[in-house]
Amino acid sequence: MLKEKLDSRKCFATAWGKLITEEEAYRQLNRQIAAFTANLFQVMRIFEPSWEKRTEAICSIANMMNMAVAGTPEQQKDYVNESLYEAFNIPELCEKSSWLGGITGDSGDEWENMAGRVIQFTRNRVEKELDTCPWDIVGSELCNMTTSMFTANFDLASSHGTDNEVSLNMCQARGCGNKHCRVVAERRDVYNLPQQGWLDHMQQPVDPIHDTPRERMVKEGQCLRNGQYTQSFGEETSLEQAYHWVAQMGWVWSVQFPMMAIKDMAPDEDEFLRVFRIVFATAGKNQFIDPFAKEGLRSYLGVPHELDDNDGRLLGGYIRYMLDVQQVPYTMERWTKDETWIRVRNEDFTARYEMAPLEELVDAYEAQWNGAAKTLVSPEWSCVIEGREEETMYIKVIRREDPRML
Amino acid sequence: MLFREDKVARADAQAIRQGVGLYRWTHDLVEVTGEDALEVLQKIYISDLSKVAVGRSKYTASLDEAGEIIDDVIVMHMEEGCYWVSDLYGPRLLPWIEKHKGQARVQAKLITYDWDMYAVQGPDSQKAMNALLDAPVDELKRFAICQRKIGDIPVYIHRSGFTGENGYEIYAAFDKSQAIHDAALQAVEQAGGRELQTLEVYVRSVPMEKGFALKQDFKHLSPYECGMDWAVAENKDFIGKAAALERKAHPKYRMVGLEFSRESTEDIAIWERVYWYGVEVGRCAQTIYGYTVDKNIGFATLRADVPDGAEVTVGCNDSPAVVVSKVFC
Repeated sequence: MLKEKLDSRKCFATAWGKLITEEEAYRQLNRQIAAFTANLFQVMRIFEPSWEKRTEAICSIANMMNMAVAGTPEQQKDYVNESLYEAFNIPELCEKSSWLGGITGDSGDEWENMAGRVIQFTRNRVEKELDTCPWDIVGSELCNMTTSMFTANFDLASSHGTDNEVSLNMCQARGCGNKHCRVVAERRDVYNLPQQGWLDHMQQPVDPIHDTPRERMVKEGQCLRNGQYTQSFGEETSLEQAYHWVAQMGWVWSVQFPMMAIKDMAPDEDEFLRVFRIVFATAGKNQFIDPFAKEGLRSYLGVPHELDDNDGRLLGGYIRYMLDVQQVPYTMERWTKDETWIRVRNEDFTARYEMAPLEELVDAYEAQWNGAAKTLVSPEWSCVIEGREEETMYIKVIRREDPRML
Repeated sequence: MLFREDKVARADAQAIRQGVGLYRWTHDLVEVTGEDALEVLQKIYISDLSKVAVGRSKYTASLDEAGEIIDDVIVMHMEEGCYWVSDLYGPRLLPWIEKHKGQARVQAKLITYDWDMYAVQGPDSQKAMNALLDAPVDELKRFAICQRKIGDIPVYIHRSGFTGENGYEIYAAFDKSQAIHDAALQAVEQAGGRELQTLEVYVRSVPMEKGFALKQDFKHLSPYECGMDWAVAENKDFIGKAAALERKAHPKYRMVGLEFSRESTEDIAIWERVYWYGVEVGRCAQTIYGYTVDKNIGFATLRADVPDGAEVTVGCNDSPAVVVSKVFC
């Protein structure tokens, strides 16, 4: 019955009343953050031509930040207890002398719709295999970076401080075109393996891997298949909780951590921002260059045929949809044929994770949406974000001459 | 996830089924004491714990107000007015006791970090234990507890386990854990056994073959819908009783076993959807490879009218399975 379904299904309406389900929005959010990361990594490649140097730099910063999150050595014990023992409820494997808890179940992957499984889980070896990853468009630097974050988790759980007790290899990666992502952790003392540097994490493991055949691969994570993620020991995370977590933390690990290293690659802050804006502006123009991309958007958002192609509300409605997907609260201030004004609190827009505001989100989205205006609507239209120094900002889609368009 | 070809896991399983295996698996332990301890436990658990004498234990479960199982535990009667509850979710039990104790004079505290636990399980476990302890345990009955020593370390021995084989649990002070481990390993190896390497073997594969479930497998089930009716003392009051009795009269679900025909079940996670003639009829709690039955098996919670022998499919790739008894061997 419709009434029952209304009670049990969550969705939001686009500007034109089309209902977008929680599942669709969650899927879109993951991919949107991944696309943002992909743009950011192009900026990195412009500033640092050496794959080795940029990979090393982002690995180092991500590892450092993951360790820093856990605080002082005393606080680190609590962090391990809370994030491993309390979360996974496996006391004998999350003891302080054990490193294994760091990968068990690996809820972070499933919460971000990286669909897969723990293939093997013993005291000496853990193998995790993924069939999908929304971040598979970013490139192998990011795949490497995730191993540096795992390393931090292992080191935090280690009995000996931070001496890298395991050899950790992402021996396959969707971001490298492989069928699977595969992370294998093998105890160095048991397998007689050397300590690894940041560029040594894409080696093959000692023991053979288990390769899931194509017919048993999955296309979506548990949250989308089953409405929730349940790890092997019964702890559950609802789709709503996972979605909320991604909307905050997805920006932190995949954007904020590497951005710190990328800024250091640029000669100065101004040059970083100049290139950063150019890359995002180009991405925006390319979003709707193909006619079927525009048609697809109209159909997806339920835009009526009466709304002609040169109406700024096309972009305004798209931005509104993207704010909904990203769980950013907003108020529609103007919604006419001549202008769209969307009011957002600065903090809501930049500080997706309260503790770590990302001012660059304003630069990135202003450039990207302004670029998108040119192809989704027409070059007569622009997107500007005003009031970035104030408590309240306005995202405006307006007609504006732009003789120095990026 | 376990696979047919995993030699380490197979050896672990064989040790328990055919010899003896040692593993450390510290359940949470909650100590409940006080004049009214029994009264509160009687209110929380479905079984009649007044019949459990000092030195004995009982497997039982607690329900929510809807009559659905929220936890399954072993209650050990350690001494007059003192019970240990062996529970995977101790930190959640404490507020539950607090909420329901009313004016009762009872104290509950988590003692997980005071007492470590090792399990010695398998047909040769008694031989290993007798070699390990200062006095034999030949007379110790199932679900009984005694005091012994390992070297000069005092320990509690509980004849129980989660494997479906004869077995013992050793409780010792946490700071003696390493010494207990070393001594137990020596005794187990001398009896021809080994220390198990693979958590999923002793937490899931071996227990599931014998129909032993974890708390999460009971989700949405009353005791009458998962074969736990024998544990219910209908002549006393307990939380969720009325709702559970209603489910006894009109069952919504039943807990079943599933036998899979595909070589492996990589695409089936926890709580995957189950379909019968293409219609969703329940959820698969978990699948695992069973090395004794040499099959991929699982537990599922299905609509009460789905019969044994029904051919169902599980998950996004339509893995075929047959509904069977949840005791596989």
